[in-house]
Amino acid sequence: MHELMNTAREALHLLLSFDPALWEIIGVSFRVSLTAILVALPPALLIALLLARVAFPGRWFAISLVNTFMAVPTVVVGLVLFMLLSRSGPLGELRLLFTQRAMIIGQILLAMPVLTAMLHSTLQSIDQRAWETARQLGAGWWQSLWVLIREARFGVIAAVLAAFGRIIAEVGSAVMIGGNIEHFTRTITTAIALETLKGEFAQGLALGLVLLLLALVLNVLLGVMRGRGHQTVSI
Amino acid sequence: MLEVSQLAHGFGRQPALWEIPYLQWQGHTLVHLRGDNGSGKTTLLRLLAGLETPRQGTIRWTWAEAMPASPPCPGRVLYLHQQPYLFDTSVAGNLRYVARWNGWRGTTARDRVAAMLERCGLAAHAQQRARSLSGGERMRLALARAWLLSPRVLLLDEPTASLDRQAIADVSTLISSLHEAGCAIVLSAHQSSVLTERCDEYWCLEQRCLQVNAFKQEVAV
Amino acid sequence: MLTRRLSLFATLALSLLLVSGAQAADIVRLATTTSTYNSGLLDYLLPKFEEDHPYQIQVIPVGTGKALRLGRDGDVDLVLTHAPAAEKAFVDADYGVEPHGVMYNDFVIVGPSGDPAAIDGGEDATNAFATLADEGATFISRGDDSGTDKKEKHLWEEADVTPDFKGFRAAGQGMGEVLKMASELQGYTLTDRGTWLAMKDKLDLEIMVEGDTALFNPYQVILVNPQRYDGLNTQGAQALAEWLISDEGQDLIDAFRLKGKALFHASAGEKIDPTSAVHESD
Repeated sequence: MHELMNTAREALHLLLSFDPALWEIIGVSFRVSLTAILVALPPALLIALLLARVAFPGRWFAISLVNTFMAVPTVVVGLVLFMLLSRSGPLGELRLLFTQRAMIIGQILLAMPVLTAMLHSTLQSIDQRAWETARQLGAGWWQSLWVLIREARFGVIAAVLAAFGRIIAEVGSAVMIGGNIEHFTRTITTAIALETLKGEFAQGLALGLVLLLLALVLNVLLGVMRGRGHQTVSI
Repeated sequence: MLEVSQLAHGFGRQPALWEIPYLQWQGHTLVHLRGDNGSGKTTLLRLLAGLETPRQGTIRWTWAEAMPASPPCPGRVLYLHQQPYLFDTSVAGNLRYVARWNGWRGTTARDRVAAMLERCGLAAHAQQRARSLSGGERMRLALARAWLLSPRVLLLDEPTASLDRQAIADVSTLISSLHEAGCAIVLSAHQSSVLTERCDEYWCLEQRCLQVNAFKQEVAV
Repeated sequence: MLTRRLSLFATLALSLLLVSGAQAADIVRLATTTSTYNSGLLDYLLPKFEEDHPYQIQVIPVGTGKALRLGRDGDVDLVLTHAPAAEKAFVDADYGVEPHGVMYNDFVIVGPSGDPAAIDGGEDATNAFATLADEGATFISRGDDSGTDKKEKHLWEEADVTPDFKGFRAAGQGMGEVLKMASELQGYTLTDRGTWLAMKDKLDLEIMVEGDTALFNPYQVILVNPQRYDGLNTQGAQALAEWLISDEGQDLIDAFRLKGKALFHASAGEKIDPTSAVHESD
């Protein structure tokens, strides 16, 4: 018990004294995950719009496919990407393995299904009249698209928060294709998973606290967004 | 001028709602489109606005000045839903959208929006969220938004159906001024009201046919 | 009739209880390094020990740092590790008792077949490390505080280098992962020979330096101090430690082969000197 208290105290000290090693890891995590979300968002929006608004043959199959991808374990994504990016793999020439870019690619793959599925359901709930009204009042195709997304903004923000929460907390693909390299690809989760093997529990606990706090903030925001989203729909 | 020939429309494999062999309308009057629920009034209005493609037949709008001849021609023939869709922003914001989409900038945009809010009695609500407005105010905002574009023809789907008496009076006054400003109007309504009393022309969807210029006395039950 | 059945049942239950109780006491928990575990040495030794002794060994393969930590916390009964200075501190602080040298194995420096940094210096590990730093070559470090990591840190010190040159990457992972990473990135790394032999077929790497005495790696077995924690199986731990340094155990260690090569050299009775150049100073 005494030991546990000491570890907790040390963890808090690391956090509050802005220990550079600790905050560097947190920085890498946020940079990788935020970049992945930003890159994944536009294509996810387009696919979601396509699925929600355009009736094409095989649409229901495509929607099921997106939902299936959402259930793919992160280690499987990591494994497939590892095989692709490995020196002996088809994309080995790119020399991307064990870089932040490779991690970003992995997280894009993980974020896309979550984003697409949530955006699909939120865009589907937007009234058909919104598009007709915008088009009739002189909006171009892209302007109408933008106004549609703006009408769905709370749902879009909720989707982004949920996807961000998923990718920043995943460890499977981050370890396999990032490699937990200090100063380069060491993220919150890989550090917790692997640094603890050194017996450095305080750092692990501090990083765990950061994730916990992040989860709390994301969930509170999600709750607020859901509430506002419903309000918009019900009025 | 509107010219319709051999027009028929229905949904899926169902038989056509109605057939209109021929219709010509000069496009100056205030028209009351009458018919029972389910007689296909909404469908006809949407077809005229170009929001649906007819199963059969042609619809042609022709204007004195050079313009795209067939629908859709945004800003020329506008259809308003029975429950108009208001964008989730302020009252003024809804009008600013229209200004932006039509390329108005700076003071031009600001002046036109402000003048329209004043004209439609919404100036006091400018900063209010559009979706917190009452039914009558919502319809007035939708009309204001359309009016910004100075349309030639407005197609109104049951504009007073779910409003109380005071709101009906306000909306009717606004529709009258729109008409006086040079906008032709076709409005559907299954019941007579202050507004339908003011119409100069009557179209009636009955037994899958459109009767044009039926006498006012015959229509008013 | 009924009483007979009851007494039979009671006897049965009691004997089951005794058996399960005895089984619990029979378990010996050994924390050891991934290198001994991955090489297959323990899978080869322990069944032979369990044949002749009433104990069942549970192996927890972790880095040396974690292994000593488990010992310090009383989570295991004994440790088998290879970081002499850390082990000395462990014993000096009374966390462990009765340290015994068991065996040696050795480390090798491996790198990409072309040897882009031109370190191929035969036997001089220190010189090779200095060249790596000068060239800014890609070097994958364990960076996980394991025995191998400590050995590597010591070699950097010997070479008078602060390992922060351009190509230096600390992975914080096990030997197998680090070798894979070195192969993928075509970099150099320090590895124990056992893991190297077990994995080299899957790697695009070659041995660059071997045979330097600075690369030798002594293993010690240490009992966790029974005075610090209740419920340790010190008797079992003692039996295992004594067996490892007995003639039988030592002969078996010498006879162990991985892919036809000897990995470990029995060394019980030889004195371990934590201040010698062979060992890290962490």
